[in-house]
Amino acid sequence: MTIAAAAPRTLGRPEPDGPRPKQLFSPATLLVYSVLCITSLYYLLPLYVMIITSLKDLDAIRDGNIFVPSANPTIAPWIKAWSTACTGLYCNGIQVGFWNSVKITVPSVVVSIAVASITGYSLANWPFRFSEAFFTVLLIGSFIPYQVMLYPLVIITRELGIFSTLWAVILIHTIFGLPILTLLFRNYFSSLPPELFRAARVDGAGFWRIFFQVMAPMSVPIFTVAVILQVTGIWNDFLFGLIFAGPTNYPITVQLNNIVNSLQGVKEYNVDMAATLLTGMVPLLIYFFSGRYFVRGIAAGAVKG
Amino acid sequence: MLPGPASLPVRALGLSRVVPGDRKLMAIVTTSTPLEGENDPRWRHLNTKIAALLILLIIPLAYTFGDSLLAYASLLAIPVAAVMVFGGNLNAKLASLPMMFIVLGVFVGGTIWTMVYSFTKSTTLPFLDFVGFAQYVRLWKSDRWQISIENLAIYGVFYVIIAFIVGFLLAVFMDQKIRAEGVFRSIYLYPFALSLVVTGHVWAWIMSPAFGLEATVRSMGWTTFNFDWLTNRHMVMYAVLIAGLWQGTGLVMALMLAGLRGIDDEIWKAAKVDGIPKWRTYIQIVLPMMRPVLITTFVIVASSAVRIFDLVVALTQGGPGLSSEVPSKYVYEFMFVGNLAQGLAASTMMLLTTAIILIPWIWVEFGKARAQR
Repeated sequence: MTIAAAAPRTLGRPEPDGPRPKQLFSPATLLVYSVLCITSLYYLLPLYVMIITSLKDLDAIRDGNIFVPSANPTIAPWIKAWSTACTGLYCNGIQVGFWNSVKITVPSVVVSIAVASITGYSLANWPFRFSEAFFTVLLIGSFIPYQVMLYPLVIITRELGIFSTLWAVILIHTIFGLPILTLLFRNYFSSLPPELFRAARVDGAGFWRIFFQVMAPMSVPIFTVAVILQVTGIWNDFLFGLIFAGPTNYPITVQLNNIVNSLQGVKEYNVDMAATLLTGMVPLLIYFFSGRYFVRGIAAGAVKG
Repeated sequence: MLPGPASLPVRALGLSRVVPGDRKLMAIVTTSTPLEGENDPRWRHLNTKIAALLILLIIPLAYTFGDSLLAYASLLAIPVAAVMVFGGNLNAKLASLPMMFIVLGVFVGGTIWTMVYSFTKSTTLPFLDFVGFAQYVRLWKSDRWQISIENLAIYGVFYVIIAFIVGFLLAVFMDQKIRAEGVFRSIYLYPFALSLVVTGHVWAWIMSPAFGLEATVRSMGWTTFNFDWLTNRHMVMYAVLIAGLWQGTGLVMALMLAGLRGIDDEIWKAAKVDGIPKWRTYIQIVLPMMRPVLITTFVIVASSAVRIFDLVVALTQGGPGLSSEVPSKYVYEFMFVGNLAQGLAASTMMLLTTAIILIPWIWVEFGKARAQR
């Protein structure tokens, strides 16, 4: 825009062009950057403390400063947290919870996204009578505290014979993922040009065919957003894992809590911090490698289109 | 980003058959009337059949087997079947069956169930023996509940106010066309990707009096430094608040930033021409224009504050004593140890709190819908 406007002028007589160069260190910019940097420190501090604590040995923790890294870092706490830390009953480390979380997260993400994407597609492209009413109730329902629906869900899963199994957690995550994911998919499919849908229908494609051959292939970005949203959300879940998974399937968050709060022996803060980092690792890695999609996911969930 | 019509994975079957003047076909194509469905008597016929089958099969099945879940499902099948009968594409309605059953069976049914059984004296198992408001009287007489509500009020009010102020200020600073905006945003937002359990344990370690911040500052020479919030009955909720804000402010910042970016540049130019200082433009012009974003953010932040559970469990376990108990923990601890109806009454109170928070949002959403009409 600016180039096009400026071009004819420079042809006639060369003169200063473009925006005025910004002063590098004006008081205002200095203030902005110093505020941002200082607040960043507050946000980064816990991560830093977590990392250096997990690399200390117990002696270094006892007589040290929590902000100073150990002179001779060790990865022993990490190994202990992964394979031998005790949760009160067993001493198999957090790896048990880690693999349980993987077992919970993978099918829950697949099922919840499959159900929600098709629901969102129905709502966006094939509205039927009362479909919007159902959707409104679904959205309002997503704000209801989980505690309200907890016991009815315990009864439902018990009657289905899946309480305290992996299936129960998968079902619960599908149910509570449905509102936000349906919203995400419905808004995305509504934003696609309607001509595509009409063209496909004129060509004789039906409900499922349009979804699988037209809509789904064009929706890779929104599927990515949904996967990231669900993986982090399900991995971080604590309440549902605690109630519905059963002790043998406890996810990593519950296991972490049991390790840190187990009262056996000396409190090993370095092992606790290593276990905490191991728990936070998966969502953190996802976040740092896909920050753009993560931000889009939370923005899409919050700022309704 | 979107592929052009040429690369569409739709086979151009029959497209040649569409004559530009064919009004009837164009009408079908350009309106949202489904091609198959209500226009096609065969489909409507099938719809009715399936609906009738659903009702006729499930209801007797449920009662012959005396299975409470099937009985419940058959109860839900009636409105679902009603929806199936009326026009629209059958496949779409079949695909929406999970949503319909979840909405009716879990979100509506579950809420009603909880409310109804909170008026009974159910202990370990639910049974319908009504005692009026007895559970609520007991609830509000309980010290533990009063502490929980007081703590929730402290946490909720400070959390919302501080998160809004800090989040808005950070968003304004981020909006000054700074370099490395992405880096700063990642830093502010990464705690939000973490589990609240992780957040709780990290801050428990930082704030632990024996080895944490207090011990560190003391060892550096300031021996009277006091930071025992985690073990201080009067300050423990503020310790929870510090951890909660660390996790959640980034989200408010991100939402506010999205709101700021949505403000038209012309507004800024007009304000500049009028010689209004930047800070006044933000407060008196931009902030009122961001009202929808502010309300949505408020509803999200406040309703998540009502649910606070994981953070307290990980950070303080409700201690010291009962001084950091919160309602969700009260529900959890009563519901599963033989005080079912008491837990249900407490969760109904949580629902009421959320309902109060939701009112402004519903008001705005319905207002928007009315304005569009």
